[in-house]
Amino acid sequence: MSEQFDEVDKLRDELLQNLPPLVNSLAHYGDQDVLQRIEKVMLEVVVRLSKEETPVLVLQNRSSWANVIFDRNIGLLMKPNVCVTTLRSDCPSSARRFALILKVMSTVYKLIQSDSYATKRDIYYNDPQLYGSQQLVDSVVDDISCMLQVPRRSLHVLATSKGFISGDLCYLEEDGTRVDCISNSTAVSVSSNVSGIKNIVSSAKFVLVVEKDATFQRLLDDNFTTKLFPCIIITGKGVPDVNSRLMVRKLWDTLHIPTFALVDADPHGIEIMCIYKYGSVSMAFEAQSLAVPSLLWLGLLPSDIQRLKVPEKALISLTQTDERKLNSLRNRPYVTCQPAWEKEMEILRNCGWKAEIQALESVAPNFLTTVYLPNKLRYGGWI
Amino acid sequence: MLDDIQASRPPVPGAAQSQKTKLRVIQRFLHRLSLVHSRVEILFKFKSIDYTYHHTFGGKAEARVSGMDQAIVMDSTRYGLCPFSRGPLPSCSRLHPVLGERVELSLSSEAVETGLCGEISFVPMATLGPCMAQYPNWPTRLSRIRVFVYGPCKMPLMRAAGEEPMSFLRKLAASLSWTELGLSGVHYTELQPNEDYPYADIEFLVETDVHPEREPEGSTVIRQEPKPECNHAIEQSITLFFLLQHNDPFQSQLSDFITSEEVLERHLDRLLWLNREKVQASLQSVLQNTLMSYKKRQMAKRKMQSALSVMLNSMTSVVSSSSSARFRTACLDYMRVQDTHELSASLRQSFQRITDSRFVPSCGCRAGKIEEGVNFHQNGSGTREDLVLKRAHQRGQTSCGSKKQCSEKTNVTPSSYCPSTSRMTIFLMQPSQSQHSHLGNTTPSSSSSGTSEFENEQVEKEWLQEIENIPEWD
Repeated sequence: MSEQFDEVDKLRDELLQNLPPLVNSLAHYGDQDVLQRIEKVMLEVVVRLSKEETPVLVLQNRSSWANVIFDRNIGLLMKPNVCVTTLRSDCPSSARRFALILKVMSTVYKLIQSDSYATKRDIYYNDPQLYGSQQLVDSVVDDISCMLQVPRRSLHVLATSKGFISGDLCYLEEDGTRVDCISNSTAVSVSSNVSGIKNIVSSAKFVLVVEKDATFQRLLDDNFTTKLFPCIIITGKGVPDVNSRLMVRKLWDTLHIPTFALVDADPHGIEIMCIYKYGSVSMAFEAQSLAVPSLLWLGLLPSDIQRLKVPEKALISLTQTDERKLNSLRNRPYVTCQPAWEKEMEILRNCGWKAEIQALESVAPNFLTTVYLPNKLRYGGWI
Repeated sequence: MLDDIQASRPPVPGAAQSQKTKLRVIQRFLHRLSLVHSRVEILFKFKSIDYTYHHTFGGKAEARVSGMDQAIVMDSTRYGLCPFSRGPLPSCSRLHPVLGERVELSLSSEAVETGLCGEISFVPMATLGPCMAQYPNWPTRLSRIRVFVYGPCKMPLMRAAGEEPMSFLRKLAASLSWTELGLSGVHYTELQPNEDYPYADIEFLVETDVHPEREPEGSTVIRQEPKPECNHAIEQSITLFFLLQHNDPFQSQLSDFITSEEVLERHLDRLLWLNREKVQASLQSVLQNTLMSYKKRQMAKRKMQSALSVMLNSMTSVVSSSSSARFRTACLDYMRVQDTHELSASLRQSFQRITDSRFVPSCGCRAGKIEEGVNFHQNGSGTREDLVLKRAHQRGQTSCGSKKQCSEKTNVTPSSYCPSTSRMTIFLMQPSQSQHSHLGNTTPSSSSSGTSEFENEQVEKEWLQEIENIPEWD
């Protein structure tokens, strides 16, 4: 059984030898520091009002690729001098956003003062008519986090996690609750307070990041974590939330074991994998704590579709949207430094087919857990 | 072509009043004539025992409106009116006419029997003024609707003294769906003399909503003290033009045209009643289009009030609950107040004042010259007008054409006093272009928003796009 992980162990040694220098992520700022930062913003508004000038808020643009740079060891990082968006308080088109930022900031101020925490959903339901949508609150919280240069956790704002985790892992929550992922027959929700997790205990050989919840559940049903014990599997259920990404990063920082991705062989799957590996443009200001650049692509590789002779009826034609997404991915800065990934994308484009992980079922029942993944791990079939 | 009409009469006892009445009638006529024939320069001079009046009507083409048999050229700078009562504030003095759809009028049998033949149509046109596009947040109030009727030769239809307005026009107050236009209602009012504005055929007062700034649910709107708000709100009015057109291919003599116009004028009220559904629909439509910007403005105003309330509450909440003496003192010092209660009031006033005085140089609206703007620092800072001036200067607002005042009255001087004669001189100067029926299709549109407005709309769009793009929704 030990041969099973020879290649994984070798990979781990290799990764440990090439560990990049530790980069400081947005540290957990002290409450007093965050309060002072909020006061500074408020005071600037007061100063402008006292000068009879229109109050403005300057936000870093979190949606432009022009505002990020790629660092092989970190992922997508926000540039030091980025394009900014100036919000005026006296313009109907920007006044609402301006007002909501101040409103959430005052809520954060009270939370910190009372040393209490709230989820973004709590904030939304505090005045749903004012906010209009949960998405708006999420965006405003991230804007504030970016503007004050503090992680969301330091704002005393939590988010309900959507991710699940299972495998050889035990840890303590910040409040002292012991979480044992291995003894649970079902998966455990990813903590809402990842930064507060301590005493992580695991002898896992690797972490497998699974794109979809359906595949994750299938792995649980097939006792994957037992068959390939010891390992950890985690899913962010599609596009990952911040907590799932924080958790993957936390496991890497703590355990320094290889992290693999199991995603569909389609542009969307590749993009999700890139978010785990390199981060996203919108959260580039917090890339250091969210991305795991050492993550490797285990499957489903487009070349596997050809190699395993997956029946055509299990494949889906690439749509125009897929092709556009694929071209967009190939132009991204981080893909150019991954020749093997580029090659797989080329295969995907040339064959004109895409495949979901479930397509392996058409090769043989339980093919994924009994043949595909064990062999991939045994023979180092990652890129 | 230059016509010189001179009227010299020996002084008649008790005739002064009669002369003044005549002067007013002529003034009104010329006023209204020049409104749609602005290329024609009319030099009007009136001299009596008591005073001398000298005025030039028209002579300046600003807004060209085509789409009718004859394009009309409006001297919008004269009647756009300056929105501000004090201070040389930059403002757009132009009218922005909105042309309605032509309505073919069916002729009544009585009109046909009296010799009125051919096709008669009517085109409504309306403007909202004064233009406030450069002051998107300044409080405005729609106060009046003035109606002007012009015959087929684009001559104003004048009523005799004491004559009631046409019943069709009077009933417009009840026949149009004002609520659909966003107005509580309108009612007929006696005409108010206004030296700056031509005497209308009929005038309506617009009912203003007592609480125009409705509070959005779930938020607390800044309670504005009503008096200051009313004091600086700009009153806007709608000018509605009834432009009649007549086409009879069998008419060729000038006398025929004059006769037809006279007959049409006599039967106009009945004709309008006969075609009331079409006419009212057309009027409703043109008013709807004219009031579009006004309604948008009111909506934006409500949005701004709601946002200001949230900003204010958030700031006062932070300052009030702060345990940092340094921060609290800094806030109080900057706003020059003693305590947080005063701070709240001061912040509210500042927010409101700064928001209201937002100035957006618009490429669509030409601002008048700022003549004395440099004095804003000395002249009682703190008012909205001062802030506007400050902003206009900060944004590098330059002169885009001097604004002309509506009338120039010559005061009585000893040398001009002439007891023996009263002399009225009218110069009519008609440039060759004035009769061109096609003056291009450059129908003036309502003022476009400024670059800044556009940029902020872009910001809003980008933000919404950004929200859609951000995948990290937990």
